[in-house]
Amino acid sequence: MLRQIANTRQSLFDQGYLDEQFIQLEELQDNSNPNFVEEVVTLFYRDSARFLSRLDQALENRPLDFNKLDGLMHQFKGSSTSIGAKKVKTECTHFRNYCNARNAEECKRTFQNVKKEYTTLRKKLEAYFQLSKICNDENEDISYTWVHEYHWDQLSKCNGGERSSTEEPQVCT
Amino acid sequence: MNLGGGQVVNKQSMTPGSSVGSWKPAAAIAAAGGDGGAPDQFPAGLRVLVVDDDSTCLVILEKMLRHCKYEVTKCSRAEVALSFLRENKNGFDVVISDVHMPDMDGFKLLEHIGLEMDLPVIMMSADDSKSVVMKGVTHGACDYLIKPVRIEALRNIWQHVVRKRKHEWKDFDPSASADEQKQPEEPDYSSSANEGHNWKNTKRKKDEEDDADERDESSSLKKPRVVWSVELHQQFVAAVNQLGIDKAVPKKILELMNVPGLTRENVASHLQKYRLYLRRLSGSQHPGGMNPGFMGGPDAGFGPISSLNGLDLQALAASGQLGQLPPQSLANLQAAALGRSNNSKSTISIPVIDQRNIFSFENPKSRYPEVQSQHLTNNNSSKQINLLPGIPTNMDSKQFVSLHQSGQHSLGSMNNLVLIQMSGQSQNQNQPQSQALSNTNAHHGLRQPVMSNEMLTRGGVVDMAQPVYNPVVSVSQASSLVNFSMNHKTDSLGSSYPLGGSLGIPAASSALQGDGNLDTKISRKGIVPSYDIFNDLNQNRDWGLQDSGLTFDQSQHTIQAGVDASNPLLLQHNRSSGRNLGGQNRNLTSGKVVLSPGVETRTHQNGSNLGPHRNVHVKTENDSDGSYNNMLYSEQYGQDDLLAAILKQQQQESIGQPDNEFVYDGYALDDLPA
Repeated sequence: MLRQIANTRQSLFDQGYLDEQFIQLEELQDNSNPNFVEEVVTLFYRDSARFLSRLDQALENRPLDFNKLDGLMHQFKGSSTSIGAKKVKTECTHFRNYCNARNAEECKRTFQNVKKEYTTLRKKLEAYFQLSKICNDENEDISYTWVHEYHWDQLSKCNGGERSSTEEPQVCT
Repeated sequence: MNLGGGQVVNKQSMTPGSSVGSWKPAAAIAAAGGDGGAPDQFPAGLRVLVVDDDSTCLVILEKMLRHCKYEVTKCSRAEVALSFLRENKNGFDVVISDVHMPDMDGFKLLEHIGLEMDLPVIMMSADDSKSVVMKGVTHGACDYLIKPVRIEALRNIWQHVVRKRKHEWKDFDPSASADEQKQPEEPDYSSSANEGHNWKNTKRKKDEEDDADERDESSSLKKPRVVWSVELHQQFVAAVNQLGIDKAVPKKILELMNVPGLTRENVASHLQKYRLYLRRLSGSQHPGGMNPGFMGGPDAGFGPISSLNGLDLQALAASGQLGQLPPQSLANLQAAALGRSNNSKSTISIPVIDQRNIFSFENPKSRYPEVQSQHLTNNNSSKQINLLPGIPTNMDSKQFVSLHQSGQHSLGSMNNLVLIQMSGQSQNQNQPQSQALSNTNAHHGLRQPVMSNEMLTRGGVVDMAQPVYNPVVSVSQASSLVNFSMNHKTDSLGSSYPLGGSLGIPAASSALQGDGNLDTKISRKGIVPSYDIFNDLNQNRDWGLQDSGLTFDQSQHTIQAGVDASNPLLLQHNRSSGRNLGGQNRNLTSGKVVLSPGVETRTHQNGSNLGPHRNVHVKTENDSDGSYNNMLYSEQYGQDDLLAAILKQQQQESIGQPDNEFVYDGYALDDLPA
């Protein structure tokens, strides 16, 4: 399970969804704030939703106000950068380039890409965090199970079973 | 180092999400440590204020800073940050701010903080383009971080605090008497008994080795920070002007100012800041150095920086020898005067440029370091230099003061005072001072400078929220430095700092560069100096305002000033004819200020509507006739009015002088209700 989580996480990096900044966030996480990364990412979702909707609206205007679009996208890009959303950031950069070139069509198209990458990343991250949670829960179960087994084991010792007091639950017959 | 209750409160209220609690232990230790603990813990406990509109970044930064064992307060709005800083003088050691924020430009905030509180400010942005970084440098940022910010970058921010302290220490003249060598007024810890002491001790220990002997450690620790109010700043500027910017030494300034309770160190550190400010202003504009009276190029932000009180203006004035700034300063003054107190954001108190300067062409001095109130009003007396048309050129000092007062608002302290005393010089255009010198807000679109300039002339202190724009005003006589506290940095239009920077004021100064003294020109004209100067300036100099956003047109007199709607000043200044602006407002035509909206596009000529934050290209035609007064100085212009007036003027009169073009960056002329 843990390995599965690790793999999932690694694939996010390998596939370019996340970059080094995400690791920085993970490093900030500690016992006093064990869900820091998830909290930040949630905050990001909240802010992004707003930016994306505003961008959507702005793209509906005719004619397009490129300066405004650029400004909004700059902010959204800043947010994405701070959590390490690599692909999203790249698409944002493309968008801004088209904005500067005043290319309306490309802007719109790129924006669709931005949204797509954002949605994909979000799904993946949500899955990842879910997995982590389950893993933690499982770990708890395991530990609990161990204790349980151990006690049982101890009890069974009395019954004469020869057992090494290891974690390995041994069932005393 | 928590200053105590206040500090904590701030934190909590401000940062709903911040886990203050978790950090408390560290803070408590630092605080409680008092003598013993603090020094060892340095830089732990460093009090950082983080400002960023992006809440994701804010949370991440806070976490990182906490990991560095710093005490963090976060805010998402610049104004809130400024109010925090003001309420807790010495409550913070360093400020980290984002560049792009919706409510106030980061650079403007930077200027404000630098002037008011003199704290080290670190800028950050996802934007790493050279121009933006350069802007940070010219505006006085200690450092510039590129987002995403890494924790390693944050670990070392304490060096900026130490460095600043060190400089302040060194600022003092070692030979000064021992008792004078008190703690410099640094923003710091002195307020809190222990911490302050500790910090100071810590820092002092670091520096002391070298300088220390003269320092009087114990007593000064607790010295309260001196607040440089507008009046005080004006006095300061007056004193500096009197002595001459080159010869102004703290001791003499102190004597001249004759303010009880002020120490040489206070003056010394303030002087240092002022010089930097001036340098920045002049540096930004044109290397040509002329900056007459500009209020300082791009940086000059007027209004926004409240601290500009006088300081800005002075800076402006000083920056380039502002004397010439008149146009700008006038503009600023007007803008400020217009009382746009609205934006309060940065009420720039534009120190009315040396009264002499703006309108009095008398002073050939090329540099008017201080436009500040002191002379503003009168130097020329009799010259109708109404820098701002309609602005009462005679700004008496008291007017000036009144301006101050009126100006004060915005942001709290930004003094809108536009000290533009536009010259009390006799001219009296006596514009109703009401104009609100207070309009400080330079920051919003209103580039007050223009407006304030007018206001200034009105004799009041105009809050030039906008950076001093008065390049245009280049008040002829060198003296007319309009010190607009050009906060142009602030508000300005987006990229370039408007008014201030863009205001052509820098350009103005640069424009003026051509000749070194505007005075000469002006005097030639014999007319109301101010306008002439302006024209002259235009002619001679290229007003290439160097504002980051402004495109400087080195060609003749193009002054690009981020013209804010309130920039009427710019427009008006062009007029060399020295007229009294009285009322004419909108005569800019002689100098026709063409405001061209849009970023750096100077297409507008007269009357182009300037959208907010657009570059208003003000073309000032030099026409000898004096009807210049109009535009800028139309009386009672609120910033908007001024701008509108100016625009109107332009439209109506487009006088043929194409020579002077002031491009105002970011001024939305449109805003002026014509």
